[in-house]
Amino acid sequence: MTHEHFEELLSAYSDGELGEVASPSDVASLEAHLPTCAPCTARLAEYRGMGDALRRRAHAETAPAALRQRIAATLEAAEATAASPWARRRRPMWSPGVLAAAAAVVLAVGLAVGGRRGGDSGTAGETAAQEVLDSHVRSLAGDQAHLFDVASTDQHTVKPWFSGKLDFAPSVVDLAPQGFPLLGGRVDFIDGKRVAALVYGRRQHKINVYEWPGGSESNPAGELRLGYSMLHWTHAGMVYWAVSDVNPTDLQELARNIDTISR
Amino acid sequence: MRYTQRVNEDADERSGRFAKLMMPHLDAAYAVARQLTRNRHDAEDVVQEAYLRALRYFDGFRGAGGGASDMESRAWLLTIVRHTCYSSRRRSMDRAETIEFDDRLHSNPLSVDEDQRLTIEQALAQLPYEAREVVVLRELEGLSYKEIAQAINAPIGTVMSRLARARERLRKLIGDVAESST
Repeated sequence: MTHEHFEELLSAYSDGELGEVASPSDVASLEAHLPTCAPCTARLAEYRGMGDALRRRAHAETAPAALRQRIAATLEAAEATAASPWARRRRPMWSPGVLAAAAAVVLAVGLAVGGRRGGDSGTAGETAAQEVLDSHVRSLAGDQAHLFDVASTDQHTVKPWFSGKLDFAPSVVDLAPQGFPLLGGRVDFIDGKRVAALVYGRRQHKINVYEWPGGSESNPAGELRLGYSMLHWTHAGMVYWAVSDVNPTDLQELARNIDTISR
Repeated sequence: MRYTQRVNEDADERSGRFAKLMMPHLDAAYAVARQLTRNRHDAEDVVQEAYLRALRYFDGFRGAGGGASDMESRAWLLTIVRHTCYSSRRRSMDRAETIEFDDRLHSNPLSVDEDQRLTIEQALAQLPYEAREVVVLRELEGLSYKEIAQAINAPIGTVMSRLARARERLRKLIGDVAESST
C-alpha cells in the first residue's frame, strides 16, 4: 500500500466514509493498524481538528447586517415587479412616497441586474433566451434538478422516445467521438411551446441543447448571460439554443457538429 | 381590481414563504461564499445574486409549498450559492484571461489575525478552487461523499483523493504558518 493511498484511507476514515470507498480488506487493515501507530493516530486527529477549526471559524463570522438588509430590499423589489408595483398590501394605494420609493428600488435592481442580463428588451428572442437560461439552471440546480426524462447515451433510444411527445422529430446525434457524448433528453417548455432538450457532456460539464421548429436560417450567435455561455442558431427550419458553463468556443464546435451530422 | 389584489397576496405569500425558508440560512450561505471567493466583498455580491436566483427558481423547489425540512432548504440554497460562485468566477476569468492571473487578482486573503483558528482559513485560501470546493462541501455543508460526487459531477474515488490531497496541503500550510510566526 502506497503512502498516498494510506493518506486517502485515513482521510476517508476521518469522515466515516471509508466503507463507501475502500474494500473491506482495506478497512480491516486500517482499523488493525491504527491502535498500534502513533503517527497515524495523530494524523487522524489533525484531520478532524482542521475540520472543527474551519467550522468554528466559519460560524464565528455572521453575514453583515448591511447584506441582510440589501437582500431583504432586493427581494421586496423583485416581488414588487413580479406583481404590480403600486398595489402594495397594507399601504395606502397611490401614496406618492410609496410609489417613488418602489420605483427607485425597482430602477436600482433593474440597473444592477440589467447590466448582466443584457436588459429585457421584451422581444420574442429575449424571452426565449431568458427562458432557455432559466430552464438550463433549473435542470441542474438543487435537489429538484431534473435533467433527463430519458437518460441514455444511445441515440437510437433517445430519438424514438420523443415520438408522440412532440410534433416534430428533433436532431439526436451521438457526438462522443467529437468529445460531446450524448447523455439523454427531456421535453421542456420554452416560450409556451413544447421543445426538445438534448443533454450533451463536455468534460465535466453539461450542455442543454433546445430545439423547436421555426425561423429562417441564421448563423450561430453567442452571448454570455449570468456567466453562462449561450449560442443560438437556425438550421433546416429548426431553432436551436445551446447553453452551458463551458467555453463559448465549445458551443460553436457543438453547433457545427450538430448541423453537419444531423442533416 | 380583485384579481390584482389576489395576485399581490399570492406574491406576498410567496415571498413570505421564501423568506421564512431561506433567510435563516444567510450565515451559512455567506460562510460558503467567503471560503469559495476568498474575500468578503465578492462573497456579499455572490450571496445577494444567489438569493435573487433562488427567488426566481423558488417555484421549482420541491419544498416551496411547505414541508421542506431545514436541511433541504439549506442544501438547495447552498447549491445555488455554489453555482453563483462558479459563474461569477467564470466571469472574472473571462476578463482576466487565465486562472493563475485571476487567482492573484483575487488573492486578497481574509484578514490576518492573532487567532490560531484563522490560519485554517488562510491555508484554505491558498488551495486551488477544486480543492477548496470539496473541503467546503464536506466540512461546511456536511455532505456525504456520494452527495459531493453528485454536486461536482465526479466519481466518488475522485472525491476521496481530492479531499485527502487538500487535507495534506492544508496540514502542511498550517505547519508553515505556525513555523514562520515563531
